Amino acid sequence: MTAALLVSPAWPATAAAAELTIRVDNVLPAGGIIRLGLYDAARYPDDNSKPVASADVTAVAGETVITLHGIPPGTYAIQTFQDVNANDKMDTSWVGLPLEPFGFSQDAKPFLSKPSFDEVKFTLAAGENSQVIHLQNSVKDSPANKARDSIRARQRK
Amino acid sequence: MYRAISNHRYSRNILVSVLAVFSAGCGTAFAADDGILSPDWHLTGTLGVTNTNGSYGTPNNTNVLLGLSTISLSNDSFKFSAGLPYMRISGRGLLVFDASGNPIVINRRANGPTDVRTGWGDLNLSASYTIPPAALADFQIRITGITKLPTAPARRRLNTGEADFGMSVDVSRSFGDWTPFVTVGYLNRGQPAGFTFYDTSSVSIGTSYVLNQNLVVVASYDYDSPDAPQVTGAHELMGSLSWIRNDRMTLTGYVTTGLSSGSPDYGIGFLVSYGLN
Repeated sequence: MTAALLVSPAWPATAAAAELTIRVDNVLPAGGIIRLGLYDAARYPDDNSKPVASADVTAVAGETVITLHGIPPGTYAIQTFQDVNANDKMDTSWVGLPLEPFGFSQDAKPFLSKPSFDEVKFTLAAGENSQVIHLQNSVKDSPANKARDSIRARQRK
Repeated sequence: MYRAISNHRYSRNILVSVLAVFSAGCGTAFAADDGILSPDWHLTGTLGVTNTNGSYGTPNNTNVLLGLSTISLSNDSFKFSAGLPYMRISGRGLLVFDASGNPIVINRRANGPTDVRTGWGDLNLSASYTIPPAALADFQIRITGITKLPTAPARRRLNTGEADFGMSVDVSRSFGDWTPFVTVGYLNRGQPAGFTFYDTSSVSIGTSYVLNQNLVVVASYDYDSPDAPQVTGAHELMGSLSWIRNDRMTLTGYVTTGLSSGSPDYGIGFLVSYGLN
């Protein structure tokens, strides 16, 4: 099941504008909103920068599809997360670890901090483009973790 | 929307923050400030029974039957557990247990009649902190501190009468349905008068495999260095099957087999974990 949204950026579309369709996979059935931002190299490192384009879409379990229109061709990065409780922010633990599913373009995986722009960048050409992002879930309650938590109670280690 | 993304992007300061966790101490996890704590704490009770049998490096067999009872409080990062076993030790070797649940032979040459001792064992406490895979390129790290407090009555001869302290680090990473793990630990053992015990190190190497969303198998090789002059190190294989019945209940059965004289010949056990809230 998918959901789609067409979003346009703030500036007028040019003749050579690009269209970008993003498939966000691994969306939890918990619901909420998929929040997505498209950034260029200058804006990506700045945590307070405004994205080139953005979208907020009702999360649909499994896959949510978002389409951005009228974007100038170039090199960009995507950050997205599933705002499960729709509180307009990505919830984090007290040490700053994400408590809601998140994702980056190129499916880059963070290591103590978010990936660099070089790890997440992709080229947007004039015309139709597509990207697939698999949300990464920081929740520990995987079946494997539950099984190991259980076996730890056997009074060893 | 962009503000939501911008203001809560992946933190650049996780490493510093993780270090701050330990400097602040685990007790701060119970602070009432909603901005500090994850609000999602879970209370879980675990009951189980396990039976092991072996010579443990002595001339005679010893049979150990444990009734396990553990209560745990956990959130996305922390887990605090308290466990109290009910023990029945039957054999000629005088056997007690350390904070990791490992048997300690404290009288190898006991040749009297079979000795049966029963009663509640020592209180085991543990606190662990888990760095989730989302922070470490899919590696999950769990750091655990454990202690065994000598709460069992001395007349029962079920314990050393001293407190043990230890810690372990567990590293795992998922590759699809497989999640290999390595756990290393160190235990500082209390020294009762008149006995010589060693501090021990331990290594556990294994993997879990998710058969489906409800069934998980775990297999591991476990090693513990000798804990007393009379015994050798314990080499052991463990296999378990967990049935995750629902979000609240997990049932686990397991078997062990010893590969050295310092470990039991075999063991078998069953555990039920149930979410209380």
